[in-house]
Amino acid sequence: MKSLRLKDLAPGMVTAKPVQNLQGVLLLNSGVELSEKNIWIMRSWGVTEVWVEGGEEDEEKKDSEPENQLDDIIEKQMEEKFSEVMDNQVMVEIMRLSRKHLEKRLLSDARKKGPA
Amino acid sequence: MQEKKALPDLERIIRRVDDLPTLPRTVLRITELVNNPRSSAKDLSNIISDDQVLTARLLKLVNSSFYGFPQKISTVGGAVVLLGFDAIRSLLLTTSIFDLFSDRSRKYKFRLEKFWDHSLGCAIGAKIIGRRLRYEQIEELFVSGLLHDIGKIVEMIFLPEDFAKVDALVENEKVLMVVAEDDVLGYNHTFIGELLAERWNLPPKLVSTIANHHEPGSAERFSQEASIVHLADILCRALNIGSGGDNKVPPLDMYAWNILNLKTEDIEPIIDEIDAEFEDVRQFVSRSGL
Repeated sequence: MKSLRLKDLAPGMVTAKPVQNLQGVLLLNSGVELSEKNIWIMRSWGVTEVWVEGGEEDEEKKDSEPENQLDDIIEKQMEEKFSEVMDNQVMVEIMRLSRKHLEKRLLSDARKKGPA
Repeated sequence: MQEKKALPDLERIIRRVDDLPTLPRTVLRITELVNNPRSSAKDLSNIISDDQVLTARLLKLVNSSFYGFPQKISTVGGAVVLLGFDAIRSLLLTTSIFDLFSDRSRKYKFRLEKFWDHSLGCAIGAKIIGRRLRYEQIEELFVSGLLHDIGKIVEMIFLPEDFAKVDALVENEKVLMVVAEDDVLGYNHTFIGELLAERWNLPPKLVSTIANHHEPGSAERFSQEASIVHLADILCRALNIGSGGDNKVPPLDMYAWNILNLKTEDIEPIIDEIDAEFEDVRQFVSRSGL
């Protein structure tokens, strides 16, 4: 099993340990398959890391290092931008979708530039 | 009018706004004409034809790949018929306003560009949201989106000491510009925008949208329009389209959300459309040297 940051989670992965929020409230048990919905819920609760089942199939992550760094920047910027409006469900959704969109845009820009 | 803290400042602003450049006379006449339901296409063509610069600009735009009409359009009359009143007004207003403010400040050139990107993004966003709601006069929504933050440009260029104070607070406290403005100045860009829009004789709907885009509930009979621009503003900031002068997203006014009667499922397609259309328009604007 390994610990992943929230942004690296994907539907289909399975939790290896229970997930709690900052107040210690149980959000997900271990052995639960992740879906878009519960990833979103964890995000709204401010969860930053989740242990999932699985081994070392992420060699490709190395190639996309720069994107990961930019992903981080996007994430930080989003969090700051939205920091005071997170009590609103619609705003949470807007944030999630915008981030998804910005990351997609980033990826397509990177692809356009082609391999180095 | 809104309640203000500092009265002396108020008079100063009003005086400064009086000093502001007016829109080119032709554009003002066009705006009035379009507002008048009895105007004909011929009336509009005549006014435009009187102004060489506008004529050239209109024909260039209408024949560009942006519109993609199959045949070349060589008369103003033809353009008016094809595009319709509202679209013509949007086009001409957009380019004139860009002109008015573009050469003025080398100091703020970069910020001005970012600012216009944001305004254009909102214009497009308002149009897209309006289309989804089957709102009829979507070109008016476009203009509302484009002008909603015009008060900020006025501040930047014509009230520089005030603007500097606001800017500093935004930087230090990481707040919304409108919050910093209220705090430091006792008034904000919606108020300046409102004054300017009135001075430019823009229709009440536009004036109200500009004045109330942060508080759509106060827009009374134009609440729907104000709510549309309110949401477009939020989405553009979330998508990093240009800059509103700060690094925050304004809170969604739930009254506005309820009035619009949209669902969270509607957000994603709207976001996709805004981004795609913005890219198109941006490329077009830079290529045609507007």
